[in-house]
Amino acid sequence: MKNLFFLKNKSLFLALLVTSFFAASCEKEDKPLKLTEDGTYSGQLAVDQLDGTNYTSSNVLVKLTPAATDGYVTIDMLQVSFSSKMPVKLDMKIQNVLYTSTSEKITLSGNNIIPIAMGGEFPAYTITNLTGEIKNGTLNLSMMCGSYPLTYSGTLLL
Amino acid sequence: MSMHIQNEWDTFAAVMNYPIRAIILTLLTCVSLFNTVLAQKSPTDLHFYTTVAESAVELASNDTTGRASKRLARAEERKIVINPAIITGYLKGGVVDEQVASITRVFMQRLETESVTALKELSATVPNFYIPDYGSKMTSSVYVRGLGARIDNPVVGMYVDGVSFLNKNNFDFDFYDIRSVDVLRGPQSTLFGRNTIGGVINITTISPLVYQGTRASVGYGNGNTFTAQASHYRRINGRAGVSLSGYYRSSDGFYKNDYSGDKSDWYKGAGIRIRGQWVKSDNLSFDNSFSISWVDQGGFPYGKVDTLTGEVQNSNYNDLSGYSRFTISEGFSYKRLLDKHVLTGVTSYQYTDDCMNMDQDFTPDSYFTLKQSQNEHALSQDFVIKPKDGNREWRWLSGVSGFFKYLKMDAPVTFKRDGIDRLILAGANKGLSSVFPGEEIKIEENSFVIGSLFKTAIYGAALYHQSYLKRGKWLFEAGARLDYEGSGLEYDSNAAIHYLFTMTMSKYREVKTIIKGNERLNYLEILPRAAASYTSGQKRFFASVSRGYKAGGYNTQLFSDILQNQMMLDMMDDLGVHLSNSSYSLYSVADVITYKPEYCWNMEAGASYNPGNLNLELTFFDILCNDQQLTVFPSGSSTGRMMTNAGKTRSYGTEVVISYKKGNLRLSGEYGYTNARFLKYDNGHSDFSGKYVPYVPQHTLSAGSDYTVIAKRGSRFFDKILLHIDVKGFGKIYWNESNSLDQPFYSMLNGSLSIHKGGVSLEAWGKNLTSSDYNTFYFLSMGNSFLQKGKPMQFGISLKTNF
Repeated sequence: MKNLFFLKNKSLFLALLVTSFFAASCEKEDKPLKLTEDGTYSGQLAVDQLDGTNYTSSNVLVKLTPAATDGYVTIDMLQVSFSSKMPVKLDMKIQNVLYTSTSEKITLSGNNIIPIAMGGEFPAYTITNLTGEIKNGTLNLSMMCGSYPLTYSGTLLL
Repeated sequence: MSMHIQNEWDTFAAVMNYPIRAIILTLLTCVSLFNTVLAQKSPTDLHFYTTVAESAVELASNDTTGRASKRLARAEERKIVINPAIITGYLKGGVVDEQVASITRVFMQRLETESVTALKELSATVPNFYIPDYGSKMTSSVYVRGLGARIDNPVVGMYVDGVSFLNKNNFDFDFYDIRSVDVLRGPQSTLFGRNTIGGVINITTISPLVYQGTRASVGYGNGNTFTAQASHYRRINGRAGVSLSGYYRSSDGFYKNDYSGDKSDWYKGAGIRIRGQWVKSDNLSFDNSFSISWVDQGGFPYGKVDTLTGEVQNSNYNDLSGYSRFTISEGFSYKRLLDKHVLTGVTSYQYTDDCMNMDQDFTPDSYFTLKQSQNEHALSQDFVIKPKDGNREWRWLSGVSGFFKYLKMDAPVTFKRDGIDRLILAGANKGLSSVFPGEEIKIEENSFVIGSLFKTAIYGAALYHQSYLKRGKWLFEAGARLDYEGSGLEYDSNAAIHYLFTMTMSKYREVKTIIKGNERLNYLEILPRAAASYTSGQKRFFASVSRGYKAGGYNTQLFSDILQNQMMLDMMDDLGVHLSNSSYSLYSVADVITYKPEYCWNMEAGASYNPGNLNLELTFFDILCNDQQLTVFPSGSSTGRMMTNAGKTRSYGTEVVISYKKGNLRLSGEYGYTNARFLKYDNGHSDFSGKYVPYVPQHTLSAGSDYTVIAKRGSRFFDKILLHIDVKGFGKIYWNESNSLDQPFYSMLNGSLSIHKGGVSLEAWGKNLTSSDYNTFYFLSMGNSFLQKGKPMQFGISLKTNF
């Protein structure tokens, strides 16, 4: 009985997959991508230090959430540290990041954004020159965080 | 501030006085009604029997073999013309008299001569038995033969007139009209089940079928200590007797609290006991004992140890500390002689309502306080059947027992300003300030409460059997118990605070922490016992091996720490800050909240020799304990206490009892030696293998002498004068697992002198007459060492009457 149910569901799933594929094929015209759901990426964060060295940390989680206003996203950088000397890790929220999209990628941009960290605005780490790209499940970010140049590259967690 | 605290003290004392007054009023009313109503029914019974039984009590006062008890029973038989088998030995069918075990039996005369007012004062009188006098009447930490526990389950079981005291908090009660105290040393788990790995204490009060009359006494001593006691025992008819007794005791105390300038250990206690015995027929009897008691006291006179000089300062704390307890005990025993068997049963119920207030930092600073209110219902039932013919070659007893207790405990911890700043914020801000100089986290509240509500149900059932086979001069004994115990804990701990990070936040934000859940424990145990004895004339040799079991339990006292840590993590999480080297470790509640049972094997061998007036007893014991439960203080700045299973422990030692009576002189000596060490104990930070088990005295010593001067016939001044003097000693006692701190052996001189004339006696007594300087308790809190000093010299006079 259990197997029968499983097969039944499997058949249903395959049918839906085929239908979706054809539906997607029909819609594949050059419509731009649109962010409709949250996505969390895991990857490497690199921060150029003032002394010329580079500080990297891996498995850093970055969450992208579509904002209420169309065309904007919020970037949450979770438990990040910008220096080996930093005794704490912070959650940092970058709001009002503009995004544009094509049928193949999403481009992020922003400037002079005061991030939210430690319960409020954190002007010491004001974000400038933010650029980014989401393409094929990969997120690449580049920005100045206060006086620290910062890059991030991560893949979407499914 | 001090004014405010003083007012709190006054309010507390005033509120708690009402129940004591109510008890005294009730007692007086009952005595009055009792005399009025019953005297009309049987006025001729108003007679003081200077009975054979009383003589038997005299004889029995130094008896440790059980023989005097049998003489007493025979005396009872002669006096009331009732088969003694029907009115004695309700507890386990009277097996206490028959058990091959190390028993110390202290009778009324010795209790009165040595001015014993509570169980802890029998320390050293019973060898290797030690109950340190510290804290409050809630803290009854009993140590026997190297086994003991500061909190939670005790190592001894206690029965008073058959009522099973399932809660250790009730062990320390005021003695009045106690007929005898039997202490069975070594595991008694086969017959008595859980929490008897150290032994069993069986306390019986005066029976109204043995003694009739009125007893009253008043006493006064230093520390403004006042005692009053009154009781009346009466036979209603040939087959029934009732008694009503009560007491009141108060003291200003002996330890000064430097903060308030008052004594911190003031005390008030009162109680009533009503006992009724009815021999319905030669085959059926009932015994009912009902008592109410009230305790209201200050307490916890712990003094900080000066780290430079090592001197113990006076207690010096600012927050309300004390303990109050209301207890109702009801025990109903019954015995039925069947054709070939005797069936006995004991049904008992105990209600406990207590409240402990404690300044947990014991300093003048306002760190945090605990108010722990407990409300417990405990019910137990025991049935024993055994053959009627006690002279058969093969005797046995079989029993079934069960118990249930439900405890509701509300234990809110109030964090005050100093505690918030130094215990909570200091750690958090230390990490932040290194990154953001000048910025900090603030908490809006000047105080907040960590609420903790615990509901615990514990239940158990057991089947047991013990056989006795007599072959010539040999007596073999073997038994086993199948014991099940289950328990469940429901916990709900919560707190809410408002915090602010100065760098980024302009308004305080609320963070709430809730820890809720439940845990369960179940155990099934087999507890065997085997013993053999050989009796030849005045000599007796015995050996026994038995397995003991002490129940596992829950570390409820750790919840304040668990929640405090969780709250910090929640606040940091809410803030989006993650400390990489956090001093706030997240407890796994399931891991720290429960602890396992403790098991031990006890092997002992001994001999006794009773030629004439001499009684000599020598016992050797060797106990191997697995998973011994020990109290440890969690590391860091936490202040909670938790029980852990400390690994393996071995305890061996010896006990010597000597008593001698010739003419008017009576000598007694009891000595106990214990060598209790950890065989294996690593608490994660240190390895304590080979170290002595803390809080256990290596030696207990009691040596006493009574001398009675009998007046010549017709003396106008006195009938007799009784002089008593004794020395009690304890130590060495290690205070911690690393054995770096200890209390060396110390001794105390005690004595009394009483003059008797007719039914009246006047007694002068003294304890610790040389004002020995010693400590009774040590603990570590927030990096500070605290000790409680032993009580200084106490003395007083008592006027007693029997009519």
